[in-house]
Amino acid sequence: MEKSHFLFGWSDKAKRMEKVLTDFLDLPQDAVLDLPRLTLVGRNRLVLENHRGIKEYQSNLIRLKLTIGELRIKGAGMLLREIKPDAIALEGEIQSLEFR
Amino acid sequence: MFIENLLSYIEGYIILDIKGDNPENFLNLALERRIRLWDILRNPDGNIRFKMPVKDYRLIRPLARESNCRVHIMDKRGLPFFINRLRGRKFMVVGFATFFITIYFLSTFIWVVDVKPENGPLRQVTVDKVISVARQEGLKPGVRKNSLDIRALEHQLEQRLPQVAWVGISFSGTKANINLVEKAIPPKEDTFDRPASIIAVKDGVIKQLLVINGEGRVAVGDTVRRGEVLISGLILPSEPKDKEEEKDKPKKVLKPRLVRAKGIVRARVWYGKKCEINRQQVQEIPTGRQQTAIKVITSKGQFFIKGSARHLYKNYQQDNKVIKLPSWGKFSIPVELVVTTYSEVKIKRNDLKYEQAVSIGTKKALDLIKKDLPKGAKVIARKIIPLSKPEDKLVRIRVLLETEEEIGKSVPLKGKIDQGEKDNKNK
Repeated sequence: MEKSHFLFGWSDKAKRMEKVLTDFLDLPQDAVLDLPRLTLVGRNRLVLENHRGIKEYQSNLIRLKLTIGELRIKGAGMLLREIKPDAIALEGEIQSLEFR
Repeated sequence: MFIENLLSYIEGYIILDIKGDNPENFLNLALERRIRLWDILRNPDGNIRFKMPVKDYRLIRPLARESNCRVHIMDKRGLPFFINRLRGRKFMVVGFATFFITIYFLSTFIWVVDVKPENGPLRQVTVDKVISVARQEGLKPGVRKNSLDIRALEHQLEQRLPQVAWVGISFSGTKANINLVEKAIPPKEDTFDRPASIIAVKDGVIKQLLVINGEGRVAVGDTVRRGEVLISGLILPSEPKDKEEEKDKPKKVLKPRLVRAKGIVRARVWYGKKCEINRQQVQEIPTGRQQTAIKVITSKGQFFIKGSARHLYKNYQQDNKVIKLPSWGKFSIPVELVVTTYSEVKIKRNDLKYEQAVSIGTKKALDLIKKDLPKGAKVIARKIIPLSKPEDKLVRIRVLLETEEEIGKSVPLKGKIDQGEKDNKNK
């Protein structure tokens, strides 16, 4: 996608079309537009669906790849409870969530 | 979550350590290959430790090579590994199997025979007698449960024990319960033939008197006291009316006769009851707040599992529930659990009006009297007498009730009924 300028421009247009269409049809955006869905339970458990991989994993910092960039989770004593191809569940004391 | 854990246990899982410069890369590769990983921990030394299903292990090796990481198996857990380990300990498995089979086998026998009377203690047969008869019929410790025909056994026991009306045999575990109902003792025939008088059981004024047999000692309108003879079973010789009759048979008439008195004596009876009602009523309304304390009492002392003996409420109701462990035969475990619930209550003071207090008091007194009334008593009149003034805090009232009821009761007399009298009856 990022390799070709021609393709990038084209897919950008297609993305915009898609957004207009989903807004019009009132479809859930995360399903159609390939957006991540975050479920935060208190401050101790985060379930992230539709991720693109793990960039960094430390007990006080976790960086995850998303379709719309990167999610940085700062905290203490964090661990990945489970990773599946479509979802990641992490537990521990979450201090901040940051999108880049 | 629990189901997932259980499934992964059945499937078997391994705990792995990955060592390398970029373990995240390894995780991403595993994700791409759709391998499920869980409990991923970053150790202080930089290694990553995780769990994965054992069936995916062969997929992991090339990934480790690709991401320049080294993989070490730290532990293998789950059912497949457990079974594998058991294979090396055949005798332990055999021991377990023998143990369970023995327990099952022994539980098919009867080890205790117990007698349970249905209606209070036994009067006509003894427990030992029942057990010995049951033993003779084949129900004894050490007998297999399947070899017994319960219906036939019950029938046999009923035949062997004529004092018993019904026998029911049931098993609870290794215990056989023999439930018994004894035959009711028939009332002795001769008590109906014994001479008796009818006496008053209560004070009253005679309203109706009907003498069927015997000699009436009271008349309608008489006031009688408790214990007074109403109809006597002793018939005194009457004064001869005609002198001519006396001449015919003088000796026979003079002898007093004993009979069983029969008759109906109805009398007016009065009942009185006093009742006090405090007009300042105190009501306890539960607020819904509760505290529970659980304590264990053993022979050595007591200690609290949850809560303590102290509680926060000023006004409260206490409810104790005692849970005992089931006893087996003569053995019981001297440990009990006491669950105490403190329910907070609000005290509400309520002042009753004078009329209300009187009506409540009347109802209370009437309920008290009704307990004493015998069957067939007819209430004729009632009277409520207030004993206190309307401005008093304590309302005292007296309720009088007048009834009409049967007051006679048979009391046996000493001696025997005259032969002539009995002969007449038999005819």
